Amino acid sequence: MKLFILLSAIGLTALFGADAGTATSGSDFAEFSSVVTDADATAKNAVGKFATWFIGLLPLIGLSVGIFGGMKYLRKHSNGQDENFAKELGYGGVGAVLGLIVAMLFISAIGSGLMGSSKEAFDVLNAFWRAIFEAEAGASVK
Amino acid sequence: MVLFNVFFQRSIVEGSKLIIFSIFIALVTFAFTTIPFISQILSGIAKDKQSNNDKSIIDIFVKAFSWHIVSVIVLLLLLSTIDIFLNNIEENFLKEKCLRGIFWNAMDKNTVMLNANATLGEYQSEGAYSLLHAVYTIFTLFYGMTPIFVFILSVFAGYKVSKNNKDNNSFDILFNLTLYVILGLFIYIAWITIANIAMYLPSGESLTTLKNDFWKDILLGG
Repeated sequence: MKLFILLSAIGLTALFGADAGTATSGSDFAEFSSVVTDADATAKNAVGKFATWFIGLLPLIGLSVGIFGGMKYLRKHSNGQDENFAKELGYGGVGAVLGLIVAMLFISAIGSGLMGSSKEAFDVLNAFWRAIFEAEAGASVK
Repeated sequence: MVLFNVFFQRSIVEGSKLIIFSIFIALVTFAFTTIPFISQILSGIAKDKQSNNDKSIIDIFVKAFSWHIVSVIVLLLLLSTIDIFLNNIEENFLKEKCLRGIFWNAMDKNTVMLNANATLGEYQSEGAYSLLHAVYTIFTLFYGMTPIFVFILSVFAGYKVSKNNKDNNSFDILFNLTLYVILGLFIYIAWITIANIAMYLPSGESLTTLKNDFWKDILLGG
């Protein structure tokens, strides 16, 4: 019964109340529109920042994982014996190159998957590091 | 039928009402192209978990895609049939006027007002446009973020399958993850390509370009 009364009240308000307002200006909706625009911009900004940092740091992540992966592989196959430094450097270096290649492939995939062209993702990477180095150069000049 | 047309002409042709009607039609196309597919996948996964049998993942996707294709065809027929009935208002009223002319042009206020024959600054028209803008924003967010959700779900599924198979080898886990991500993205591309047919975006645009523009906008600033 309570639900019926509530629904009837909402229905009657919608039927008669909604159109009974005397407001004639469209500016009443400016606030609503600005809330929508602001929420959209905030969401896009948060996602954009995260995605930019992710793409920007992906080569470093690939490099680190590659180096540690190469070293781990060497240690696993050395049966507990100490390997010489040149061999560790070689395995670490190969791991780094492989990690970097995988990171570049990931960036290409992100670019073509999200923006339709892998070049766009490399533009984001370029802009990310350029902003960091330019900010750094600006700070050191000051 | 004459009564139907008279009712539609009187109630919809007014600018603000036409904008609201366009939002409704866009929501209908969204529901038809999204809900059957997602509900079939979710119910398939839930049933698979309940019965605990080794039901193939391909079965679930074949069923989901069958539902998706059928719902898209039903939607195309529905819109075309109603368009025939509303032919005296305008040719292809729902597809051209409501969807292509008003809804998908939501970011261009002047074009929307012009296409809907609404008055700029009028209380009802501004209210209708605000709602259109909000719904369109949610649409773009949804289509922009879908690949990320698909990626996360694919990684999750790949990891779960690796765990169930007791693959302790890290290469096997990585292989499974990559395989599931590629599979997930293929399914996403197939879903969005089929859905695109019934969404009636303006010529030269598609749901894929909507998603690409969304990401270009937030990563490269337009």
